[in-house]
Amino acid sequence: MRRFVRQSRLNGPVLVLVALILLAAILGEALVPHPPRKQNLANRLQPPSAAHWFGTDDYGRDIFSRVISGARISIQVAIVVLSVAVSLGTLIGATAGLLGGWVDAALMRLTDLFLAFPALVLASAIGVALGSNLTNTMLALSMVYWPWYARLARGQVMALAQREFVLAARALGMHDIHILFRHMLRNILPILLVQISLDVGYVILYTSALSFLGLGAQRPEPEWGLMLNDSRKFVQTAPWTMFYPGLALTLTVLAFNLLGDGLRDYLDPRLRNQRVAG
Amino acid sequence: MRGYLLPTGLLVSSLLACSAPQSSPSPQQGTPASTAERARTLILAMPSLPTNLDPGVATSGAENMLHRALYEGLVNFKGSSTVEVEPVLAESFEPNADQSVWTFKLRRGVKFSDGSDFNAEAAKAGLVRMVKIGLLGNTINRFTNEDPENNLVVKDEYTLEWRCGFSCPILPQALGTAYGTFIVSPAAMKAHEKIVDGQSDYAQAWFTNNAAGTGPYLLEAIKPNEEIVFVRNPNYWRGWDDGRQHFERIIIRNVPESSTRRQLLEKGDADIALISTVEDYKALRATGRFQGSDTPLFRINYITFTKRDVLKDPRVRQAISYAFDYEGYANEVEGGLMRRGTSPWPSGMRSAVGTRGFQYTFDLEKARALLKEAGVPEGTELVYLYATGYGYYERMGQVLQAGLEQIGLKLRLEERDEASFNDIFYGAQPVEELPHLMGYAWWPDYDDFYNYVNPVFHTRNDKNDGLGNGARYSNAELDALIDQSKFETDPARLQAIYERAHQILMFEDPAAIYVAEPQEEILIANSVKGHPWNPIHVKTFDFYNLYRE
Amino acid sequence: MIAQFILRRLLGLLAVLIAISVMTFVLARVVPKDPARLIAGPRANQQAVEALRERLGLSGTLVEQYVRYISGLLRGDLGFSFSTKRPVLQDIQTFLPATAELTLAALFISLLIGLPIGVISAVWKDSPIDHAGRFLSTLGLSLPPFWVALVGQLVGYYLLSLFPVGGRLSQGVPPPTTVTGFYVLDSALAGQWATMGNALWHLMLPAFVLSFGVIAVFVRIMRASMLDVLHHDYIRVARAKGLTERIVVLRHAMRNALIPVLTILGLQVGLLMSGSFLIESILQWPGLGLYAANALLAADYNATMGVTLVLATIYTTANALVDLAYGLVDPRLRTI
Repeated sequence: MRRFVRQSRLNGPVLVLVALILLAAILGEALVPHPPRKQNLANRLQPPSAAHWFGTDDYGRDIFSRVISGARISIQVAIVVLSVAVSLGTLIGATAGLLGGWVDAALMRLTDLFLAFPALVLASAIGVALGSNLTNTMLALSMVYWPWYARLARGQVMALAQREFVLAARALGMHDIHILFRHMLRNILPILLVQISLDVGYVILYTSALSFLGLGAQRPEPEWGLMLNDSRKFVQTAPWTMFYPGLALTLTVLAFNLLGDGLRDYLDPRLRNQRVAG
Repeated sequence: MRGYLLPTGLLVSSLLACSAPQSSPSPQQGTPASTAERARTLILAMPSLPTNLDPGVATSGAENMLHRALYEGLVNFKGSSTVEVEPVLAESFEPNADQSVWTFKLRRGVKFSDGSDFNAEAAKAGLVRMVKIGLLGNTINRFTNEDPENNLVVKDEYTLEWRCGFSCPILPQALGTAYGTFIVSPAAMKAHEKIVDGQSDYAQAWFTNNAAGTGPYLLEAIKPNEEIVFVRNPNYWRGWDDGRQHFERIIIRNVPESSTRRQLLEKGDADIALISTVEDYKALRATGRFQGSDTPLFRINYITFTKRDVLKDPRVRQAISYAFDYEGYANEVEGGLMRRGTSPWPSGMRSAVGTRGFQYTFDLEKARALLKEAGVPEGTELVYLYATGYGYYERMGQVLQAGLEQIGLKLRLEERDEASFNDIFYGAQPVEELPHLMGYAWWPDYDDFYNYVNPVFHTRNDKNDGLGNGARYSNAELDALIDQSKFETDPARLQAIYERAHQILMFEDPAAIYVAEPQEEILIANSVKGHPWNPIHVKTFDFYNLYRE
Repeated sequence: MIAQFILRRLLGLLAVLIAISVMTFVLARVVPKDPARLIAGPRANQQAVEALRERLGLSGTLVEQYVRYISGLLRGDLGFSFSTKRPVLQDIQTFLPATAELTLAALFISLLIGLPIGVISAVWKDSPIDHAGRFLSTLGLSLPPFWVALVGQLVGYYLLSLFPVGGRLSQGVPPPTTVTGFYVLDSALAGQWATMGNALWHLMLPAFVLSFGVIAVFVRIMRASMLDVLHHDYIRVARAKGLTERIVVLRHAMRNALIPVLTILGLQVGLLMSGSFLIESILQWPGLGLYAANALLAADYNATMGVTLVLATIYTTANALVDLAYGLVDPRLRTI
């Protein structure tokens, strides 16, 4: 950890920021000064003040409380989506890489199918078909992301399969599954970690994009994308309603992106040329 | 480094904007008519573009705005009067002794845009078409005793005899409405009609995207999702040389983004816009550069109840009615630009009972008690469906959602664009499949109890009169009262009908939450004159009479 | 060998396209509503709805429906959009060129801005310029595109009057004769310079806003790639030969560093397509994104699936072409 922090001047602050965001996600809603969903119609669209640090929205709700509470939704979605995507993807990719042959070909074609759709296009199509709510958003985004992890896992597995320790283990009679879990996962972990940190930001951005299009979180949930959607009409009369959710979103995505970058530089400089965007 | 200066700059400018909370960005000195061509063009910015130009089919306010550019009826309301009419395609009209038969002398020398002549035959065909298509025929239907084929008589080429079958002194006033009285070219109807299984479609398919009327403008272009353009009809019978600078071209732009509509108006890139937020409306009027209306319309924004599941019990509907913060909504959320609802039909109408009758207050205790009495389980979820683009439907829903949450009910808000919402609202699904609550608004064709209450609250029947009753509300006693009011003339008996109807619709068997009565949300640049601000003509324009000054 | 490689790639592409059609078909059928009733409208009786259901190919087993769906696709029939009341294919033909023009313009801008910055960052590695470039590019990646669009319009149109809002051409400017459907290109081809200027002016703000996230990607990959290349032997040889640093960088390093950029070009098209859904609906650019955003709001399944199918097909084909081109250039990749 210390080496990581020392590697670049950015890493320390980034870690702090990520910790703060996670803290907000876990504890936030319990500690905020005002209940995030409570309307106070007499207090609409107040600019930032001592009582309301980020001002109030068009139903009199405290924006600061809503922004902090929104962290929980975004992080929750990111965790669910990436857990599903990573497990599903790694399983499929590792199986393809290990077994080879027609299994590999079939699974890779499946992966290609899901990769054929631009992210938001696929997520919207699923959202429209299944209905607009956060659960379907998580399902849709999992479908968008698992192919990347499948490819990643497959690539790593195939590369590692040639390495001596694997050949040796095989020669000693260990089963493939054993080899997979004992040795390979340990080697995959660093690059997986990097990719996950980078993807957290994108997942959160896509979630808010879907809410913005009307497909994701539903009112009155304090989801950042939804808050941005609702504040579009006040861009001139009450710009704080758009500014703070946008800031929260940007900082969160930025923090995880920088974390991923830092991790990549720290864990393996050779990883720099791997997939950069999602 | 251009790419990076801009995001930083944007962040900084947004920060600055936030630190000066009361100041909006300095308005540009928009010059509405800087070039000659711009001056001759009228540009409107609307939240959605209607997709149907057929005057017999469209039902939403957006479509009606288009029809008045392309088509005309026999008469029109004069200026801002909701009672007096002036001649349009009819030059004059005379009743008989008991006012059950009206004789309309029609204007000569008027041609449809396809070149065919306007005459009594054409007038009759156009009016009958309304009834045959079924969606907007209730006015014609009512005053021809449901038999327009026989009760509209062509006396000679330019004389149409109208037989009501009963004493109908308000017929001319009824025909002043902008709904369901426009006449299309019968030649075009014949030429483009499609017959499927022996049924004619009355050329609806063609009239959806084309026009053939007598109106002041012609359709120049439809660009889906972008704009609809009208161009001056050079052969319009009223002529264009009366000294006023009429508009040569009318462009209706699709601008779903609310803040963009405001910006267009402020910069002078639009002359007329529908403004969705109270803040924008007040800010724009404060500049003194825009005209708006200060009188409430004959209109009610309401949330219908569908009598399904738990809503079958009137106590539950009463409970929900007690859980809405009427004053807070009208005064705070709508900034005092709306009056809280006090009546199932507009309180400005002659027949309104208003505060003399039963009223709800915002009383959560009563609401909870009623729910408990009705045995509604805690956490029951209801769905509220509404159309996007107009702002207030969503606002009503959010206020209701907060209120319901406090009495243990969950409200799910569902948004659709106007066309899809109308598909559901006017659809044929069984009642069990309709959303529990729907956001809607209604205004009468003319100032008459029957005209408002019948289409909105009468049990739907095959004769296409139940047009506004999307929630399929049904109450036998109310139906009887409505039917009685159709022909009743005695004032005392009518008053009794109004009071009983108020009681039923409000309290005994609630049909809706009557939320508020709004003002017109349209703002017009000062350089555009001639709009009469008629409280019945909601969101619609008499384009010929608008001019630039 | 080359022929075999090309054939294999094309077969692979075909397989994926078929799979896309199955996927879109499945998604469309998962829909809980009754499309036949929705299109027939409220007044139609049950018989008419059943007849329509037949005509729409919604009767019969799933396999039968799929076969009909595919044969329809091959004929170009993508169904009927009940929000615009027109065939989906017609809508797509109307709106696709606008999105294509926007996407290409954004791609062009991102390359124009992103690549040089990546090179500069790499050449002056770990300097303040490098740090600033990397930080700002990551920032560009993190900013929500719809936020940027709204603020961009506020600043660019409202405050500074630099850009128009909405549409591809101003009022009263007729579109040029259609050759490619790209107004900028078509007006240039016709010599209508004023029209071209006007089209460019309308294109600038949306294209610029759309390019943000992608600029960041190109900066990062160009930088990484340049750093990689700059350490290679042939660069040291070039330096040893006494060539100026500038020639070393521009002539030798960049050419090789560009290769990874090319490989991800196809991917960026996908990012831009996703972005267009958001940017077009905010800035009123009349393309597929706006059409799709409206269709989503209207729950117009035919339109949504049609757009999904078309975009996925274009995206896959673009990637396959890039793959193909890359494979033709670098024989080492043909074995994958």
